[in-house]
Amino acid sequence: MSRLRPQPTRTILALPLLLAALALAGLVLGLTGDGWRDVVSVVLLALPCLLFLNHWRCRTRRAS
Amino acid sequence: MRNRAITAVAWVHKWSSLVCTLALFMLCLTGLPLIFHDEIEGLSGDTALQGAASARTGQPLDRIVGAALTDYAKAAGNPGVPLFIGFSPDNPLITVTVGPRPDAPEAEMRLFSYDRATGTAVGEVAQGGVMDFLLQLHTDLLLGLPGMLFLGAMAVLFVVALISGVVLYVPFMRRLAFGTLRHDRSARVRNLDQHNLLGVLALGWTLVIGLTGAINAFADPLTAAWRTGELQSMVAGQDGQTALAPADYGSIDTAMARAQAALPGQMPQFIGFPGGAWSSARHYAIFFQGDTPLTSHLLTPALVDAESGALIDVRPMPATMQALMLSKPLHFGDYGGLALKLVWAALTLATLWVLWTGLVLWLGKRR
Repeated sequence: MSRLRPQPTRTILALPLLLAALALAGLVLGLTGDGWRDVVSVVLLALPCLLFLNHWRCRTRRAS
Repeated sequence: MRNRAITAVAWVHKWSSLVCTLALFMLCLTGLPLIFHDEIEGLSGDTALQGAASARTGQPLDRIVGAALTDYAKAAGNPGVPLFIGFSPDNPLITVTVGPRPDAPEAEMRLFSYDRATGTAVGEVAQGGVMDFLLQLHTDLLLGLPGMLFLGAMAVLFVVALISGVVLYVPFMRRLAFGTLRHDRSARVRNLDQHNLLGVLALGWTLVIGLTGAINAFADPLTAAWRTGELQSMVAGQDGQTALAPADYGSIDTAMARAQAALPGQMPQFIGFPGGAWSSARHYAIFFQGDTPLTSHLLTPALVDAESGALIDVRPMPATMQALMLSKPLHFGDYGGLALKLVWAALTLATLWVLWTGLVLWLGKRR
């Protein structure tokens, strides 16, 4: 899975920029309201952390 | 050409990161406990006062300030002048800052707190604890304004490093799926994958922290510019330059009543006394906060002549000051409860790991 055909820049940056936009939305939502907005804010900001844990689980390991 | 562009961005990424790395390690390590300052300070066992918010009602302000001046004279051994009054939006706690003269520097200020519902003293607010030290280190490296501006420059470099990092991310990921962590390869590849993935995942948050940190670093010059520009135009023709002797200060309660009549329903957050960094030489500047979660971070000052009690002007803060006021909560992450703080801490740890792997990658390349 590690060697792919070259991907266009658009594809490479799509997910990172989407995540950054979601984090930004989360920060603003948390600031502009209480209640459900705070919950959505926490979920949006926790998303990168959860994604990292998921990819960490799927990391390729040295055969031993 | 393309390769040359990548080399140039790599150079920018390397140097912008290296120069700010040491400062960022310090900022992350001091920032981590600061996220939880409310919880840590709450451990000392002080329970919040019960009753109506001091921003709404309670004992007369003149009486509270009188008590603070008496307490200051007793504690400091010389008479003082009031500098600030701070209100609470949720409990009767009220704090009065007193200093030796109207333009006393922060180091000479002392804070006294009271229960506004009853007028009883809660005690002098102890300064110089561990959390105060960490905050000072985080804000200005204990160096005052030069330290603040230095850290502001480091924050700007951090933002440059983030942007150049994203540009470099593209060629590195050309043939890799998002999130690839090749742990079956050399330590260098392992560090590179972790650096790239964590860096790009935390990007939105780190950009905001970097930018708001840079804005906060310029808080003092921005406030000074507001004071000499906007504030002076608010009191234009009102003889705002001539200092008013503290003995001639009129009733704060009268001033508050006049200001509240102009801003019905809004809660005061603090009062800046004449001659301080937040007011003119002869006015009480009463800062009101809005009543929605967003506008509660934005302040509207009402200026009242401290001698006559006449309301001079009410005007929202200019855009630069609004940006500064919104930068504080966005930087500290203290507006969304404990869950948000935990996420803030996790993202700080992620940033530390990106810094560390970046440093290791640079050291490995030099060898």
